[in-house]
Amino acid sequence: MSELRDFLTAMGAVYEPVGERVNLNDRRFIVNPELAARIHDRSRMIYAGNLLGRTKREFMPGSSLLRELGKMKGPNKVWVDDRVGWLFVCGRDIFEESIVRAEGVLEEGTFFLVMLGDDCLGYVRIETQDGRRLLRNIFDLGDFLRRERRILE
Amino acid sequence: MVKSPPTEKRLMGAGVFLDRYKAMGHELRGSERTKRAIRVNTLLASREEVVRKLEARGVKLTGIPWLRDGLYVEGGESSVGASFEYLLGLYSIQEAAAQFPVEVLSPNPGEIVLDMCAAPGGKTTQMAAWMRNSGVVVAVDVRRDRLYALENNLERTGSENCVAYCADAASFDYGGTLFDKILLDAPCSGNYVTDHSWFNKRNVRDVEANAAEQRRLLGAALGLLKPGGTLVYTTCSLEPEEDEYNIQWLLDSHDGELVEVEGPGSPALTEAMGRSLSKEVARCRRFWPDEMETQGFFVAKVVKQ
Repeated sequence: MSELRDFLTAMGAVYEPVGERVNLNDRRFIVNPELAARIHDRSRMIYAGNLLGRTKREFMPGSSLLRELGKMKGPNKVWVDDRVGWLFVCGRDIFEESIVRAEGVLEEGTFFLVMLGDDCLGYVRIETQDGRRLLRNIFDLGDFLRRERRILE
Repeated sequence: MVKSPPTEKRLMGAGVFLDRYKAMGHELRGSERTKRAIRVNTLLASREEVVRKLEARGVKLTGIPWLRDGLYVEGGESSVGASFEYLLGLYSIQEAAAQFPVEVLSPNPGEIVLDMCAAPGGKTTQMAAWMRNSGVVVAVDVRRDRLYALENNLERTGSENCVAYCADAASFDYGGTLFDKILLDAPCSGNYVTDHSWFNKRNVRDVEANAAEQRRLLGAALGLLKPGGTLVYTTCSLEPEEDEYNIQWLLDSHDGELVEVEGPGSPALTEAMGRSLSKEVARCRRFWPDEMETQGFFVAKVVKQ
């Protein structure tokens, strides 16, 4: 799964998921052996085990992978406060001056997890806009609410 | 505007259904509402942690005495549907009665469990939590549009021992697997407590059609259980055709023992709409909205011989 490896490298993380890998269209799952033994009809399967992420133009990690990375030492991380965290999960980007603390070097192009205390809210890519450093929102957990809204519509 | 044929009109409307409930011994107003409830996701948080974090945001919570992980939302400044804790999967919004069937089924770590009509996945994720992500939950639903919500819920709550299929749960090929436990939360007519326009949408013929589909699923469920395995059958319908009559049908036509459902609610009916049923049917539980402050609900527990 080279796309996952590339993502982890860009994040500064080392992580090797354990289990059988299952691909369903653009989604990548990791499945324990007991669950793998119960998979009989892949044509009708829509979800299995632990969703590592989705591969579209680039690899987008699922929330459980973010949860794992958030617990580790190693990945690039920035911490924000409640107010900025909420704007972030509403889909907004973050300006550098809103960062409370950072682990990793804020270089253009690198990926950072966005943390609120011990919890990972999503991740960003460092960009420069009008001479200001910007943390571009790539994925945030507010996506669950946006998906729920789309389902209801 | 299309008018319903006269016969259909006689079978629908609040009066028709409220008269039926009165004949079953319950004078309901038709305006009862349920209390808002959440369920702590014990895969990711403890009850104390969720209470502490939400109360710090101004949400008032009280425990639901008859549920392990349920909490009533009594009010407060913040919305429980849009909080960091919800997005992080620390709890789910799940009506109190809807949390009860999994407590009755009580799935254990390591077991192989089938969730027959699984979408939108509230009970699937609850089972994963009871099983501490060990063993397997096979979640099946025929409605692809409803399964998107299930996928979302599995991901958000970190439920990792589940495989989900879009299929008819009664005819799907499970590769010869027989299950330790099965939850059949059957598609049903619903009830007026959670749907304000329910009385204008439902008629007695819908109830009969749903009951027939439920019997098809019930029969299949018994066939998919291991001997000694447990089936929990549940609906959110107050109509006896979908509840007690179907359990009577199961007792008459299949090899299963009805087990006492302990806990809240009332014993199920043994006399309903002029029909007498076996005494054992009273081992099931019925939630009347006026008594329970929940939606209408029915739960039966069957052990395969």
